[in-house]
Amino acid sequence: MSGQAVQVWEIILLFAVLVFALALLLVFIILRKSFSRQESADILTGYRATIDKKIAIILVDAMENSSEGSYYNAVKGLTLLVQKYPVLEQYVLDTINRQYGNLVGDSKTVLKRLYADLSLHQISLKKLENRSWHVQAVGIRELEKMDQSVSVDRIFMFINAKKSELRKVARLALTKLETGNLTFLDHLDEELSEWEQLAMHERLKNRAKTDLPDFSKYYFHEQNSVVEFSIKMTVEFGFYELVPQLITLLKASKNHRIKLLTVQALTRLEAYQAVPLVRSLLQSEDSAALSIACLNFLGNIDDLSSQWLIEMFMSKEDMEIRMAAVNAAIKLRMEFSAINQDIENILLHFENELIS
Amino acid sequence: MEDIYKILVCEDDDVLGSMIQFKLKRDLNYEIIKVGNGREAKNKLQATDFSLVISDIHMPYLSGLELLEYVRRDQKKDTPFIILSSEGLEATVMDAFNLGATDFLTKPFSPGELLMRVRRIFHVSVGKQ
Repeated sequence: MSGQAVQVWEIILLFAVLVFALALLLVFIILRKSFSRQESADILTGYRATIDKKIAIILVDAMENSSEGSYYNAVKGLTLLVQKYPVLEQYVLDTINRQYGNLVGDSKTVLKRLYADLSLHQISLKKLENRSWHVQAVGIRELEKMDQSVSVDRIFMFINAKKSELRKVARLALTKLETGNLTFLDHLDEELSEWEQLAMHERLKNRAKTDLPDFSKYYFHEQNSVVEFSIKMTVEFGFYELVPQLITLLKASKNHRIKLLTVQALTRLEAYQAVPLVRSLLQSEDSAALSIACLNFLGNIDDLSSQWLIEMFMSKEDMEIRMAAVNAAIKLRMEFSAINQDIENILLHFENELIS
Repeated sequence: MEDIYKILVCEDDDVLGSMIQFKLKRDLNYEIIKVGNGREAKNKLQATDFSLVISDIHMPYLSGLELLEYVRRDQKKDTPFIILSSEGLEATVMDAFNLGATDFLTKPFSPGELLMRVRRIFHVSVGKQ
């Protein structure tokens, strides 16, 4: 019995010693990390001004077409510094990244060259292999900012990432980095959000019109958000030549929102060719929103042969449809065959709007 | 005797500020003083007469527009002033010119273009003399 008690105490003691040793190890690791962080911070503080000055001189030298030798000496100097203190690598990358957004012309070209000569893209690419999603996102943003088209294949892997923020960053980066068609759209598992569509539009605005995707390619995409995006971009960039394809889409689509967007797009593109189809849609569709869109189209197109149809809609039950019909009639400068109190009120409403 | 022009560069981004300083110094051989925030800039303006001020809009302590206002309204000087800004909003541009800015350059910009605008200002200044 006493033998057993001794054994138990031995186990407890051993356990206590182990816990104490683990605690000591933990404290040692924390202190080591803390010192290491402090050391990194000190190095950064100490060399920040040097790096800033070196980069500034490289840029000014390059603008003045100084010798290649002096450029490479300067790059070598930076490389040695970074090799000695790897903690400075990210600072150099961030600095070049920031200046890339500040400058245009020759200076920007020099920055891109410096970025390549220092192999800074490797830092960003390495981030894509990190397990943390926000580090991956930072890496993608860095590559996007420095126009690293070569990284397209690597970024592609993230377009359907579970984390929405990471997905978004990857899609936006590819919008900027891919040339011509947005091939990543063909591989989407998740819909494009409204925000993504807006941000993609912003990036596409920087492209030359000849370098824009062929948006009609996506009119029959399985993702409705991609179809919507393509319709909106067709209008935003004024692709009048895609009107026939939009008409085909309007004929074929069963989706109410797609139809609505297509009619609105045809209105903005002043697609006269779509009049028969829109008239037919107006007569067959029940949806108020679609009816209103069709009436707006007919009013804007200036097609007088639709007058009878517009007048018919002036007596519909839905007030908004009636207003849309009267609005279309006003645009067509129609003479009203019968003015009832209702139409008179609507006309007064529009008159007041015009006056105000 | 050659005039030595003094230019004050106010830019909190060290690399950009240094680059502007080196570029102007090399091409114009004027005295270029660089500061990194609005407070330092104001102290320099109080102590020295400058031939030109180039200032970023967004800086710690005092913005570029506040500095401009200080020079025009408090010091009552017509020192040429070039404003640099990353936002080219119409309202910002209008504010700058209403306060008396001589020129306005939006980022991203070309240092070569900035040099050209500085040259133009001094050419005009020399012409007036």
